Amino acid sequence: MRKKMLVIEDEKIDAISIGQVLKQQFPGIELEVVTNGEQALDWIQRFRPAADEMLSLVLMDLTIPRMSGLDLISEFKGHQHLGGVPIVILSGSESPQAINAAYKSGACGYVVKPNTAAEMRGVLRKTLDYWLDANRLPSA
Amino acid sequence: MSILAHKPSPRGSQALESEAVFRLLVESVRDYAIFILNPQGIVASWNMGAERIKGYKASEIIGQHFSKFYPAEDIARGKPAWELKVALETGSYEDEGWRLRKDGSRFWANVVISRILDHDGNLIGFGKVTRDLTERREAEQQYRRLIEGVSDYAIYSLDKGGHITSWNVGARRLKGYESEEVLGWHFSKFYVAEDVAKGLPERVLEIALADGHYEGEGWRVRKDGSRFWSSVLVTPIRNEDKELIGFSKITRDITDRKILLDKIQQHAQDLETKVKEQEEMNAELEAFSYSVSHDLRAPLRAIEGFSDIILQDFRDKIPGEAKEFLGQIVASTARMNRLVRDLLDYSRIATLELEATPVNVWAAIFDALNQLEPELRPDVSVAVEPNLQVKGHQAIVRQVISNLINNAVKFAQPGKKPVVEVRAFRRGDSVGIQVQDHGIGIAQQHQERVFKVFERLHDSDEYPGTGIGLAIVRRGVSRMGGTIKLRSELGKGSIFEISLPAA
Repeated sequence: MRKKMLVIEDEKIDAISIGQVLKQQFPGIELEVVTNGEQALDWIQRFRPAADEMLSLVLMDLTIPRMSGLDLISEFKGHQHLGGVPIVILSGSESPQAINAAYKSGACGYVVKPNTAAEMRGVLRKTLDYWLDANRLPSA
Repeated sequence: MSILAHKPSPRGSQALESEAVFRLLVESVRDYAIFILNPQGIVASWNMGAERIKGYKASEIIGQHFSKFYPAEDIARGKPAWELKVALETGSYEDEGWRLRKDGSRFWANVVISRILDHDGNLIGFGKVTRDLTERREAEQQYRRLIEGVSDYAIYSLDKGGHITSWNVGARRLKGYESEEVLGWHFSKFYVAEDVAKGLPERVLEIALADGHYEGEGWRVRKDGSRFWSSVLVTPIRNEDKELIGFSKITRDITDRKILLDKIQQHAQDLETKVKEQEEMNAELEAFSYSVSHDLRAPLRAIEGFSDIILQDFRDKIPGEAKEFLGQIVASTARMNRLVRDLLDYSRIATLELEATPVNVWAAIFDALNQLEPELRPDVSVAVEPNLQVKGHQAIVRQVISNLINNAVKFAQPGKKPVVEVRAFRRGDSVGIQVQDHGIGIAQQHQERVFKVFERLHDSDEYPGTGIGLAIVRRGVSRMGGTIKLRSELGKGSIFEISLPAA
C-alpha cells in the first residue's frame, strides 16, 4: 500500500521544511506538493482511487494564490473519494476568525506557523506524528 | 332704532306702567347721561347720569343747545347738526369721540342719538344716551401704544380671513411697509412663494384655530424683497361670546440666530465628516500596517528558514566565517521578527474589539513577571492592595504591565542588577499601577517621546528593543479608558503610573 501526503503551500521554505521532516519521520510516505489553488483543483480532478494507494493527509496553507483556502477545503470535503481525508491547516494567521472559519469548512486541525525554523520543525514533527502514525489513522 | 313716544297704556294708570315711573327710572340712572333734545337740538330733559358726567345741573342746561358739549373743532365741522341729520334719516346715530364737561375738560364719550317720532311719524325730538368711556379708552390707548411702540416685534392683527387690521412700529421696521400700505392685505403677502404654493398661510390659521395658537419659524419677505428668518406666534382672538373675530400675530426677526445656528450646525457636520474621514483613514492605516506586518513575516521566515537549513544540512561544507555570517543572518531575522510581532501587537490593540471585563491586577502582574527571562529577573518588590480589579481586557492589561516591567529591567543602571518596584492601589473610581525602576531615568525633554512608535533614546546595541513597547502601553491603556503618567529624573530612575477604571 502506497501512502501519500499532499501539501498545498506557496511558501517554499515551508514546503521544504515539511519535506525534510516527513523524510526523517515517515520515509515511506510519498510527498506531493502543489503551490496554488489551480494546481490543487487540477490534482483533485486527476485523482483516481486505486486499491494499492491512499491519501493519508492534506497539509495546506490558508492563503494560497488563485483560490481561497476555505473553498479548497470544501472541494475536498465534497469529493466522493477524498471527503474522508484529514485536512490540517498550516497558517501564518492566528486570528480566531480564521481558525473558526477553517474548522467550520471541515479542517481537522489548525497549526500556526512559528517564527523560527527550529520551532517550525518541532511543530511539524508533532503534527505529522499525530496524523500519520498508522495506529491513529482513521480506517480508510 | 327709534324710540316711540310713550303711548298711554290701554288699561290706564297701573303704577309701574306710568310715564312718571319711567321718568323716575331714567332720571335716577347714574352711569348713563340720558336726555332729550327737541328737534332743533335744544336740551329738554336731564338725568342724574348727565349731571354726573357732564357737570351741568338740569337748571343750567335745559334750554341750551347740545352743541355746548362738543369741542370747538367738531362745532367748526358742523358735527352736532350732522349727527342729528343722520339720526333723523336713519333712525339713530352712534359715535365715539371727545366731548366737553361744564368745566371745559374733555371726556371720551360713547354717544347714541335716536330720533323720537310721534304716532303720525312726525319728529318730536331726539333721545341721547352718553357714556363716559374715558377710562376704558385710556386703558385701550395705553395698551395700543404699548403694542404700537414695540419695535423689536412685529405685532399686528388679522381679521377672520387673514387680512391685516392693525400694524405696529415693529411690523413697519421688520417688514418695511407703512401701515397705510398693508391694512387690508392678506398676510400671505409676507410669505415666500414656495410656502404660499404649499398653502402654509392657510395652514397657519387652521393650526392656530385648532390648537389655540401656532408657533413656527420660517423665511418671510420684506417689502424690498429681502428675506428674513422669522419666529412667529399666531393666536386666535375671540370676543366675549367665544366667537372668532380675528388673529393676533407676533413676528420676530431671528435671522442672526438662524445664521449662527446654521453655522454651528455646519461646523458640527464638518467636524463629524472630518472625524469620520480621520477614522476611516486610521482604520485604513491600521489595516495597512497589519497586513504589512503580517506579510513581512513570510519572507523573514524564509530567510531564517533557509539560513537554518544551510547551517544544519551543509554544516561540514561551509567555512567557519560563513557559518558565523549565517548566524548573524539568523540573529537579525530574530530581531526583525520581534519588531514585526510588536508592530502587529501595536496595530492589533487599535483594531481589537475590546470587551471590558474585570481583570485581577495581582494575577496580571504575576503573569507579567513570569514571562521575564529567568536570567533577566530583577529584584522585584510587589505591593498590591488586596482584591484589586480593573475594568479592561485581560491580555492587554497583562501586556501593558509586562512591557512596563521589561522596560524597567532594561534601563537599569549599567552593571547593576535591576531593582523594580510594582505597586497597585485603589484611588477613587480608578486603580493606579506604578512600575518604578532605579535605572538611568529619562530627561525631561524626552519624556513625551518615549511613548511614540520607533522612538528610541538609545542605540539598540546599548539597550536592545524594538522601540514599540511603550507605544503599545500607551495605546493599550487609552483603549481601556485609562491614562498614563511618567515621572522621571535622569540618573535616578523612572516611575510609570497607569490609571485604569476600577471594576
